[in-house]
Amino acid sequence: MPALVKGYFTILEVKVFYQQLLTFVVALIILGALRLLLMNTKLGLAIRSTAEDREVANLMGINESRVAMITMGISVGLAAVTGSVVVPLTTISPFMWMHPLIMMMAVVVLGGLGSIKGSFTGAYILGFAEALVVFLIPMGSFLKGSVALSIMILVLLIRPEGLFGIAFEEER
Amino acid sequence: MGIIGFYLRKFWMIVKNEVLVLPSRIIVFLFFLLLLLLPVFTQDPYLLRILILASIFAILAASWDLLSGFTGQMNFGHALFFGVGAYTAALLNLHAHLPPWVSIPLGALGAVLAGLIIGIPCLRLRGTYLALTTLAFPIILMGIIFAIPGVTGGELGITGLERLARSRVTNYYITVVLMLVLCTIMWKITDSNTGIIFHAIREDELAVRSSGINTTRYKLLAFCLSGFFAGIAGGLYAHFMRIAGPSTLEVSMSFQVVIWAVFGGIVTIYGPIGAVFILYPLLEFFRFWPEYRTLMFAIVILIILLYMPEGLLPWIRDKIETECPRCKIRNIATRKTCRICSAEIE
Repeated sequence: MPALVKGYFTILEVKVFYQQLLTFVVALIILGALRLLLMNTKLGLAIRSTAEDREVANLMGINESRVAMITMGISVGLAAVTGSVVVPLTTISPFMWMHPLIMMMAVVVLGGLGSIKGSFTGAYILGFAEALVVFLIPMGSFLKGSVALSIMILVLLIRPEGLFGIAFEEER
Repeated sequence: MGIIGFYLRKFWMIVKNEVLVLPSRIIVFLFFLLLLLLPVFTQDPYLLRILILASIFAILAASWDLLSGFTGQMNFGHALFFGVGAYTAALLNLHAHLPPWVSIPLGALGAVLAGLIIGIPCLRLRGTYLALTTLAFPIILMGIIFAIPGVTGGELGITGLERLARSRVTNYYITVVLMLVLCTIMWKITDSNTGIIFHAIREDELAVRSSGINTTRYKLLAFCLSGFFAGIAGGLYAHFMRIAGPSTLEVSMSFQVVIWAVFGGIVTIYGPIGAVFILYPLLEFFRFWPEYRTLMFAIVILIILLYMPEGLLPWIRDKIETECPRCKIRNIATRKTCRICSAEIE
């Protein structure tokens, strides 16, 4: 796949392609927009309250199945955006879903469900952990998933709700 | 002579009064008979191979149901137990030269250990966190296996294991009888007091704790039991295929178990077993059109689950049997009155 913007520049002797920079900025913008949507709009409030308690949200006049549909749409749309953004950076194969799927779950659980900030932090922790393992340990490329997931499990042992997760009331 | 006649009459009375009154029990009886008598009629190695693999996976799916269906501890990494069982049995067989009938139980004990190791940290987690954390364990183990190819064979796995038995028919009898026995044991466990406590933990853990039951111990017990049965399945698989490879630990293996169990209906031990015996041969049968094999497989599963959200086997059971409103005993659907308390059934 040809990159959208060609060329690169160097910082500290590391080649940085403009495409990578563009991807990074797009990711930041999308995360910011998502946070704004969830925290500062009526729809975001509806989504969050539905997550907290479906029945009570329904009683408060929120059409919960519609909210569920909109949430599903937003999340699938964002996943699709991620896919199209990542295309110029990697090779495409029918089995490319596996690694992102696992890492996505690990990131979300590490950061805590229901927290954009948590996902952001979790993604950086796991991403850097993977990269460091690959470069520092012999046979590291096989162990990168193991180390990242072990970090996730260790964090969950200390904080079962993840780094920034909200501990939901236990449903009775 | 008289005593044999007495026991024969007693056996016939049990069959007549307990088995033949309910169609579901007749089906189970026929299933046992068919599986045990099949090699008398045909010795087609391909068919026997499919049924051997189906019985191995039936043990696996039923053990998932014991942990995730009954106890409600959603385990998306059930392949871990399978893989640990397979690798332990393979390593013991290859390096310690233990025969299969020793290495398979030891592999199952290894899987019990794995169940303890992942059970203890997972006790603090629930719901989505638990499901995703358990998903991580087989992937971690797979990374370790790839990282030390000297011991584990890396991507190629461990080959050259001892056969279960010389002939395919003996293999068939070993796996099928073991499957029937183990699944009956699992079904008995879920029917016992322990099983009722497992049920209660899934429904309302707080209530169980407040009635003075140590739920931690029972959840660990569920992890260990499930690990034990799945480990036996793994060891059987390793010795039957004569290879223990990383495919036993794959994510798709974990999900396949979940698909089987949900298709057959969770919280019933018979559901996953029946589902494996339907779906596994079905996937082979779809070979007549190889390009669309998995697509047709997925469509069948989706359609069945769309119309029978509780799973296939409970749906069939509800069609052919009704529950007496007064004494809660199951009756055949054609009866107008209950067979025990003769209450009207509408």
